[in-house]
Amino acid sequence: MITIRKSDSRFKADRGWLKSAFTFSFADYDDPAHAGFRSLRVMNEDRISPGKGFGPHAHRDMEIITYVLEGKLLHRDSMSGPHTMGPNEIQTMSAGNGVVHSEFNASQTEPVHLVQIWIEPSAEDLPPSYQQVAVEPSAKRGRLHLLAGPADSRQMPATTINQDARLYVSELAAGEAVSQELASGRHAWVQVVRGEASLNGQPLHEGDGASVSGEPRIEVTGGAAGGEILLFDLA
Amino acid sequence: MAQTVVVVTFYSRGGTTERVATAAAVGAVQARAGIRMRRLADADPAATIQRYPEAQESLTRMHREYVPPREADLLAADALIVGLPDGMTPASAECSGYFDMLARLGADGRLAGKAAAAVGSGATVDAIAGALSAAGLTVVTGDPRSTGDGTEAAIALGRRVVAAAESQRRAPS
Repeated sequence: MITIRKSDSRFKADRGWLKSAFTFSFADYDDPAHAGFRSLRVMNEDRISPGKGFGPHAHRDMEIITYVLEGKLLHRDSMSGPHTMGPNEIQTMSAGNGVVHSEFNASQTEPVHLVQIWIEPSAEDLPPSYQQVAVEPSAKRGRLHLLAGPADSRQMPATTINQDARLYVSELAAGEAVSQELASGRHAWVQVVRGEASLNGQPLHEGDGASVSGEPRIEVTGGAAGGEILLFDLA
Repeated sequence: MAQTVVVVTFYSRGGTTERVATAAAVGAVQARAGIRMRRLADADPAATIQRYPEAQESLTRMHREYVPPREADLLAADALIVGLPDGMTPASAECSGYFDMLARLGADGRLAGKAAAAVGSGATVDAIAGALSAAGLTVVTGDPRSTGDGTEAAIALGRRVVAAAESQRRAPS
């Protein structure tokens, strides 16, 4: 079964310097019908004005993954930093038993556009960690590139997370397709972060997401102008 | 019991006291508290940068990243952690407004039942702890710089102040 969460149906928040679209419940937005999917808890699309950002605040027991679409993000945390990241990089912070961090637009002139993802960890009180890895653009063109996954994945993930969940990215030209077998009992989430795509023949537009359950195989095909998708393989 | 709230307030120019205050905040988070980080404001931020050019980068960043503590923060807190650099005291220009507010709320009995801790070193910690105690807060002692660069001890102090705050909240009034 495929259930689509349309871009327009996401909760929109506008704080002036920050424009967000929440696929799932987040902060003051609490919707039991969209509280997450499997271990995927948060899927936020943020646009942060130049020089602005989130001041130091804390997290605990959450795998927090950031994927920048445009612009530069400046990260600091209680373990290390500062770190600046941009497109074609993946940032994975395991909050573990406690971390304090800040995220700011690194530019004083250009906005930063990003996707922030939270995945519930398999256990509480784990040691916190920070990983930031560059992704070769060719590695995601026309194929699924594993951005994050558990350390025991058959394919080495760019960054490791403490959950039986795998996050892939793929950039697809018009008509180009990638496919993924879903093992029995596994589920998937597909999020279109750029352009358009179709999921097992169902059209998805930028900002749309879709849950997949009970399907043995999924195929994602680039739309008329191509597209970039995040695919989550979830327990 | 609702989540314990710890407000961590510090003054820093080069980032050293910020690091120790952040470590104390991490300790509070490890103890499952919610935290707010606040930096005491410079009266004239541009003049401070001009006076301490070696700290320009960290001052510029901290001016952007932090807001100063407000009365609502103190009232919302179950525990306060306060950190100052060596040589500063509650009477220093950047700090006096905050400690005056603390003394006023304490005199009105509005800080009763809250726990507190000071981070820093030596005479600075003693001066902060004295002001917190005089405002009616239950001060948890400890020297966050007793080992290494002080971060491990500050983490431990953050955990202890949450335990003290929760003990006070559970105690019959």
